[in-house]
Amino acid sequence: MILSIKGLSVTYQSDDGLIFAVDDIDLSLQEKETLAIVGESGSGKTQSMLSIIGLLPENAQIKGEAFFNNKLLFNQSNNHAEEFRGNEIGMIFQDPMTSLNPYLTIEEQLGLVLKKHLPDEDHGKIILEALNNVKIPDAASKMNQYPHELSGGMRQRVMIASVLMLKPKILIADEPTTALDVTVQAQILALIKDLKDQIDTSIIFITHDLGVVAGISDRVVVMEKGKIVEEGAPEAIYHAPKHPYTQKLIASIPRVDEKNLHHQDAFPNKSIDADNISMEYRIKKGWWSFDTLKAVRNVSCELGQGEILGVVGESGCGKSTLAKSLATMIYPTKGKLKIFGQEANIGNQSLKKITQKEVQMIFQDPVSSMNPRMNIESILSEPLWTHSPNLDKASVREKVISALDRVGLDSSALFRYPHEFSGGQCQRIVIARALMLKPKVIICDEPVSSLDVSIRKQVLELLLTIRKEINASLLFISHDLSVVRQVCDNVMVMYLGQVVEQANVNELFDSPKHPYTKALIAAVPIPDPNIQKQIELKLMEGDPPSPINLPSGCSFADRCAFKNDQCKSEQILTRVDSSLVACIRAREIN
Amino acid sequence: MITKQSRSIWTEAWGAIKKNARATIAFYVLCFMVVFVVIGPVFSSFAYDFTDWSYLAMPPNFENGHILGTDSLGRDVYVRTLYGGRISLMVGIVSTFVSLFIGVSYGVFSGYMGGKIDGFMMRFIDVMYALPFMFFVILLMVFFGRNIFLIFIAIGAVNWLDMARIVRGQTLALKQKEFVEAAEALGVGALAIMRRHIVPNLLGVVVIYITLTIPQVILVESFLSFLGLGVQEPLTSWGMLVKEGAEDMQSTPWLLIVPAIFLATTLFCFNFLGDGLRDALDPRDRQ
Amino acid sequence: MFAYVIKRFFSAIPTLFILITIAFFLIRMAPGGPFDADQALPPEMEANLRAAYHLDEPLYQQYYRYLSGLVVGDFGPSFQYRDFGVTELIMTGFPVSLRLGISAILIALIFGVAAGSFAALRQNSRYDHFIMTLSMTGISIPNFVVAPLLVLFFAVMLGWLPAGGLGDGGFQNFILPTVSLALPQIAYIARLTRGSMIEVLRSQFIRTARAQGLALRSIILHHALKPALMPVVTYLGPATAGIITGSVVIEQIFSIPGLGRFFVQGALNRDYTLVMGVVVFYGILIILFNLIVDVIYAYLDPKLRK
Repeated sequence: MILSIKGLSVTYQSDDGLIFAVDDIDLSLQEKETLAIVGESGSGKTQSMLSIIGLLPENAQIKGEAFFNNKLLFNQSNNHAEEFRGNEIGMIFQDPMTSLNPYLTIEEQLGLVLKKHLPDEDHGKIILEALNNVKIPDAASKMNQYPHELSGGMRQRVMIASVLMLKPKILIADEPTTALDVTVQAQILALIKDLKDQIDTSIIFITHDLGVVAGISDRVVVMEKGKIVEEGAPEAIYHAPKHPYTQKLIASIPRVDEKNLHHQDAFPNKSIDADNISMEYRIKKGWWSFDTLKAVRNVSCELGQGEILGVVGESGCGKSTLAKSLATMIYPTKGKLKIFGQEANIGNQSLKKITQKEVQMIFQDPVSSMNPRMNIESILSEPLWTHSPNLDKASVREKVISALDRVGLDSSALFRYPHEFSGGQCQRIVIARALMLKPKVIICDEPVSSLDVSIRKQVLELLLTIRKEINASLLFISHDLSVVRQVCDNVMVMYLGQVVEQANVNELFDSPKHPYTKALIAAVPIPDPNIQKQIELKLMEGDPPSPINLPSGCSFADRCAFKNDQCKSEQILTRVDSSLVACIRAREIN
Repeated sequence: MITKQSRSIWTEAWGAIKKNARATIAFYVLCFMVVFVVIGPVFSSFAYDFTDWSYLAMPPNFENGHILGTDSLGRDVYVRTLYGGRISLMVGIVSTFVSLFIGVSYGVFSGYMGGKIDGFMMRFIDVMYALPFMFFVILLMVFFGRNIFLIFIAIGAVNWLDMARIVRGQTLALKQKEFVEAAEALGVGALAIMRRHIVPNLLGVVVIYITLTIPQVILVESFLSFLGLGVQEPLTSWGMLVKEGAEDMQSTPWLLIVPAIFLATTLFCFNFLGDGLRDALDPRDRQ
Repeated sequence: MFAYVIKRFFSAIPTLFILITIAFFLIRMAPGGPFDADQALPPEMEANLRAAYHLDEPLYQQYYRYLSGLVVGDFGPSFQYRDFGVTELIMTGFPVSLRLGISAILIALIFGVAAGSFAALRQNSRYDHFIMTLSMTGISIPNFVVAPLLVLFFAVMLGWLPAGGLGDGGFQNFILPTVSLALPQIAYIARLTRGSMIEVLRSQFIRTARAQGLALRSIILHHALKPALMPVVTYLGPATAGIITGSVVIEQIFSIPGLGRFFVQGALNRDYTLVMGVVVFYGILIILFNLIVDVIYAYLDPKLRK
């Protein structure tokens, strides 16, 4: 046993009394074991691990004891955690963008670590080797770069290298892939899996996502409200959960490999019709020169009345820009966009008036979607005042109360402020606001991404029921493919501003045609250890190129497993079965 | 409508003050100070410009009624200090609000409009920053004579630059927030968005700014007084009194000590209050 | 980087131009001529004087004359010191002021940063409260009060240092003025450093460095110090302006024949060209210094360096 924790509690003194962040847990870790600690926000998963490494805030009080390799880490009266941190126990964190010092080069940061722990060895050599081990391409030149010159995935690799070059006995990874795109997440997970076999390090993997750890963990611990509620082999946890909380958690995860049974195919009336629209911007480069940023390129799509159209893609693919154009907040620079039969352009201000009422938006972060200085009544009545200024106060209040009632909140919410509500409740209020004017189209930009897994499902269901009642169309933007699969009727996949594939939901997920779609879907972890451990990932290498000054031909070609010389110069839209695919080899490879 | 929306800032600010012992004390001392300079002179029988020929440059003395002594012209130090306090506090508060008004309007407009307008407006601020305003103020005083309104305007006009920069930064951050985007999508007009969604959320920085700018302004006024460009006799300010006191600190120390204590205490309290508020309200620290 | 420096340099020119224009017209707007200070001069003599100083020309011509003079470093003649050019006067005062100002800035930087970092590392301890209260005092008490007190103590009572004047220009004559001038800036820089150091110490990459097992000393020296000092670098611009303004007071109190004294004398004597010259000169200094600070900042920040 490399690590054993007995009766650990972490408490904080607050105005309302003692808060138990971690409440009397026992935990052990074997050599070379990968332990997954799963829990939602506030479950104490991170707090318990910070205590191992001695990084809890100063006002935290620790009870219990922990041993590393039979040596005391800490107990009631002594804390030796500092002696082990770095060289014996290493930790990496969620956000690679802020975890590295922006003022030091990679070599300098890693060199400082080596200077402390391995002062007599050849630092340059160790660093280079470590960077090569985490598969950073062209590692020698990356050593002299600053963090902002590297992508998120590369920075997380650097973080892993900085820990593993000391060959610690334990690696604690706190949500190491949460801030990354799904294909990059798959790369990092594969890397951790690889490294695990090469070196004799035990891994503690902290996550909120049961799918992520299904394929790599030897044992899973589920935490809720500071307590361990269930512990066991992954097969047992995923297939026969015993504790009600675990059961609820497992049941609430949407799966990308399960058919969507309630999707619809035909939508005779069109709300929105985009014909070959592009959005290009000029970015000032030097004094006289410009770069062209192509945020959206030649997109054609239709949104039928009552349809739910999914838009998926990684960060920077142009999905939010597209959404803004559908709300006439910006206009296409090329192509024709028709909304409710009228052409959208800067001159058509009467359409803008219509869309402001008929097209509503729901955003990712419900808390920042509401003005913190306005109470719920003011927030919900703003749409009414804006579009019918002559309404009398009483009927406005009546409408606000009925909207609150519809999303499951009562009138006691009226005079309260957003910060008094939980994330899930906030998103309900935001949904209520979007529905105040009974719009024809609702644009949902990652509507459940910031919510805990267990409340995502309820909020999604609420959203879907209500939009059905008013028969609105939904543009559903998400990076979470599992949710999209379970929610949407039709789906389009975007890559660097372009739609690379468009099909109905089951067609797209069951038989993806474009190489990018294939890779994207394959990268989604499935919350089932039997499946996930079998999958040999066909990993997509590298990061997307910059949307500025794109090369000609297919912009995915550089990362594509099926590319040939022709791809660099040509790209055409083909229909394969019922899917539209932007790939000249679409027919050959399917 | 505004009052209903902005309920929480004052409660929040007060809550923040209460948690910080120094800030709480500072707050009460300031309240006392304001009340004292307003009604304090009532308790003395001397007018601020009355010359008591029988007691020239007398140290503090309870028997003759000059409890804090008299200056070389026989004027009562207690009364003059309180009258000076009125002027100093008024200069501080009025100038701060002048710069607040200009700075907030300018900053919100520039930040919210963005693009070329923002670029131009900020360029203008950069240019203004590089000008030695203090010297322009001195020039104005020299040429146009001493005038208390000129002091207000001159100081306010210099300080608004800071406010405009801070407010613009905050506005840019707020503009990214989804509630502003939501209001835009809804068709709420630009002015209404600035008034309802941006300005109320700036109150935190504004309150901090007020408490930290008032003492600065009082100092600038005292600097002008030192150069003989402050308010005109027989009116006076703390800065004037301190300056006069400093000239003869060995022979008549009470003329320096009394106003200096008032001045320093007030500046201290404003700074403590501002620091306390900043710790609690600065949006950068709030997670 | 080079392009940035060039760009920044050119963008300072309009600022300079605006500065000169404001100064010129502000002074021409002023009521009362330069020659009505003492008793009224005979009209023909005044006319001669006006002609000698080109005051009889139209305003735009005077403006043009002034601008073209400035380009070659000529600030024109002084109204009061009739035998000297303003440039000469500035050049006699400037070296003294420069010496005073530079030493004050250096002292302020060294002590301010040290005190601020020390307080940040012992946040909420007695030392922290002590340093912060002290620096609050530095900000709250005008330096025309502090300076005479220092004189009273070190010169009059202890007799260690001269009370004023330059004497033979020796080191000891500069100690009290420099310290008085630096004190408010020390206080301000200490507060600034403390705040930014605390913020940096809370950041994610410091947590990473701690998780890597680095010693506190190494974390502060190698990870925290540079980012924490960036706001101080930015503050150097306003600090220069503050020092220049402060020097006007300090030079009065210590009777130091620097630029600040010329300015006050000139203002009181309505020596328009001298006052204008000093203001423009100060303006150029501030603009120049801001330029240098911007370049230093860009050099220190890896994101701007390229």
